Amino acid sequence: MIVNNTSAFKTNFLKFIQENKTLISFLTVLYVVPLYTTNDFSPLRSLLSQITLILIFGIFALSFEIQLGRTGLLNFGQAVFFGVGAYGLAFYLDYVASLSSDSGFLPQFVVLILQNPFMQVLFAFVIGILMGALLGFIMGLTTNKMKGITFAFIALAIAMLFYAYSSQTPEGSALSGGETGKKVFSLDLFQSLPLYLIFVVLTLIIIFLFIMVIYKDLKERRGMFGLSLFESPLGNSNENQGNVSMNKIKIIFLKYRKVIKGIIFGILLLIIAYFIIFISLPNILGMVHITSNTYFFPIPITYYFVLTSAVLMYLFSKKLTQSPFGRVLAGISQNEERVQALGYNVYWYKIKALTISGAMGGLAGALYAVTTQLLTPETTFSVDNTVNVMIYSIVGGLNTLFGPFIGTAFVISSEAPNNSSLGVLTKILYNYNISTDLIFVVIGLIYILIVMFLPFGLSGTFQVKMPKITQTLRKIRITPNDYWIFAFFILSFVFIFLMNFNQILQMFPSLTYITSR
Amino acid sequence: MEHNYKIVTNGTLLVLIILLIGWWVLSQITANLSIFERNLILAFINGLAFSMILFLMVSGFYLIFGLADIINFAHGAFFMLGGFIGFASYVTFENFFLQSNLFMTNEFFYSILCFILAMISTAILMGILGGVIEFTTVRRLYRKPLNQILLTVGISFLIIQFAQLIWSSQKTYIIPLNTNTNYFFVTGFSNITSNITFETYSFVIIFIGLSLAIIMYIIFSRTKIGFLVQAAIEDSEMTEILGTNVKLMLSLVFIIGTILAGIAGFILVPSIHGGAYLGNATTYLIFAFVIVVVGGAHYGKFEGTFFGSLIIGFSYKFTETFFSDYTSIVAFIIMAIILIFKPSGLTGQAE
Repeated sequence: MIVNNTSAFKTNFLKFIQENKTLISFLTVLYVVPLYTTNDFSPLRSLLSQITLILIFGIFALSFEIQLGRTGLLNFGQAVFFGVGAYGLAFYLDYVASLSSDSGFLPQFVVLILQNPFMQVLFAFVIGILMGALLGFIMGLTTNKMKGITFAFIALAIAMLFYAYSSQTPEGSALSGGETGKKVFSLDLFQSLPLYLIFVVLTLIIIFLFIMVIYKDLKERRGMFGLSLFESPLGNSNENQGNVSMNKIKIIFLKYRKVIKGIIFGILLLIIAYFIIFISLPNILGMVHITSNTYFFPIPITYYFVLTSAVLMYLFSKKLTQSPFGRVLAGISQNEERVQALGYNVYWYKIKALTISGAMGGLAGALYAVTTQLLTPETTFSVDNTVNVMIYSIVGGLNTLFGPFIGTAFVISSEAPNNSSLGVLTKILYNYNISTDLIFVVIGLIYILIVMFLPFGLSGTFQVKMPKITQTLRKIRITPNDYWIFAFFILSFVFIFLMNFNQILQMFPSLTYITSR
Repeated sequence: MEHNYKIVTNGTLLVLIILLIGWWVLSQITANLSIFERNLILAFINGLAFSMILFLMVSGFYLIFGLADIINFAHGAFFMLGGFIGFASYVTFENFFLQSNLFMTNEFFYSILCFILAMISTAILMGILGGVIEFTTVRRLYRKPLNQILLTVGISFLIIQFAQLIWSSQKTYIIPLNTNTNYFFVTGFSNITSNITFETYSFVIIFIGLSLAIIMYIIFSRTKIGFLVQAAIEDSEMTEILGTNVKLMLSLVFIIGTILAGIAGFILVPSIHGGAYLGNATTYLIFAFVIVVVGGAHYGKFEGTFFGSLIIGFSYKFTETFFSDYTSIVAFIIMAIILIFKPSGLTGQAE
């Protein structure tokens, strides 16, 4: 019995690894990067805070994409989920903080539970999500018997009501902080030790998963290394030509297959162990030392927190679209009347879809409130927020789940200012003496070009052309099984590139001398 | 519009007669008006003027939306750009006339001339811009609504950044204050009695707006092109099957919509309450959304935009005068109410 259980667990585990190789290698790079330095002011830290913002808006764009790409509901009021989640979290934290002075009608033990830092975080996020879900539910109630565009405008009305109320009426401005903004009560937990250790453990788990990926891949490789650059893909031809030495090497490889693979695996393990022990462990301990001195160092923790929630949201959306519920949503986006005729209650499905996406938007808003501890109606409720998120999703690609994240990364990095690590495009343009205002004109032109020539967005076009690319890559013997290697190296090179872009730019002939930071 | 023919003509005649009678009644009332009634009349006139500007802008938006399902996010930006271009051309013409020493003594006459010339040049320039945009970009994405949304957002972004480059972002440009002669043919305020003062220019706005509305009504209900456009708005596929070139009509409608938005933006400029200002783009775009929904978005009729802009304009100005805190919200409350009770807008037919 026990043997059966463990082997079933093992097969499921290995299957999970097999299917998600690219994702795991992506995550390894993203989780491991912050461990490179403990320096508070290094450019890596600012890059990480920007990536945190990218991930937050990526989650928000993912919620928009579930509505539009999966269910076909255009929604001009998306910002209201974001704002309600953010402000809900802020108000709850204020309430809990005010409980210490005056416990009101709650019994003492409830107050003690609520004041516990873990519970504070948990309930605050739960309230943010619930507020977003509530707004989504309300919006869903209004979709009955309406054409798509009318729903978009109703959502816009609700969003603009919130925005106008919170920014232009006196009571609303007092609640929301008006132009100066509302300060969010900072969570002690996010600078404390236990959460940090949790994420370090999570990073180690991911490294372990990565090692499993390497192990499984090595175990299953046939042939020399998959890449057959020097022989024909059809395998051994009948000709006797071909180097005798190459044949000898192949025979040796076939004979001592397992040994060679074991050696390669051991070398890789040594590299990873070297990295863990000599590079990241001192950094981990260094950061622990800093946090125990109550030195404000929240960026790794918020980064990890946001990254983990982004991953969870991505996996959740993937499960959702592959479930029967997701299939019905896809049907609704294509032909609503037919789905209704097949017997599904389309109204109820739309409500559910809007509630889920509202919850996700609320989560994004709550995360935003925790990272940037200042909320204004401009940044949360405004139509600009909705329009930005639409741009992110459409540029990224509406028919993929990675699309919103890629679109957000592209747009935010192209608008990043000159002195940040992410602002590659602005640095290049600045290098050729284009003034700052014109830079935005160029960026607008780039968006228009993307919309005209890549109609499915960046990642969507990639997915649509995927069969062709796969075919081309198969000719040099790179199968989809091997893509994780490329994901790993490409992402690492992107980070190294961003870190050293200033030096790279100095190698090119420039018209002005770049002074960054 | 055909079966509404009598209602519309009778209704408009009635409104005009009421306006005239009201004007006469007002001019008979002497100085003993309370502040409340003064404010009421002020709000009424301001509301009417504002509604005319909104109507001009929204009719273009509605035509583009009805004909090709394109939500033109750049319409607000066209409005703003029309204001800036009109202002710049007005100043240029003024300088030109000053230098060439014509009409030196008769400022009134050449101010009117500058105004008319500026309006014509704004129309021409906005028409060219609309044509270029339509030809290069919008045409390629026919029947792909999402890409069109992003495209128009991108265009709006571009136009706003461009305007920010050329004109500064904080200033509001109002004609009488920013030109060389500090004179405009209707400045200042006119009084009915010594207690009611409002800006004379509002009447110019009302006059231009009403005349353009009447011209549009005549075009839509009496000419062949008007009928074809209405038919294409209702069912573009069938119209195309029956032989009209809907794509050409789309270009025409886009250009006309852009011209209307530009003219509306320019008309706003000389008014003291208005002016050319960068924030106009998003504000008036949202007004356009609200009015199109209130008036009847998808299956509505053209009069819907007229009555919708009247309602929204009046309510905005009335709340501005009396409950100044809630001005921004009232338009959305009205939109929400109408959407709840009549989801296809005032003049739309239910699905």
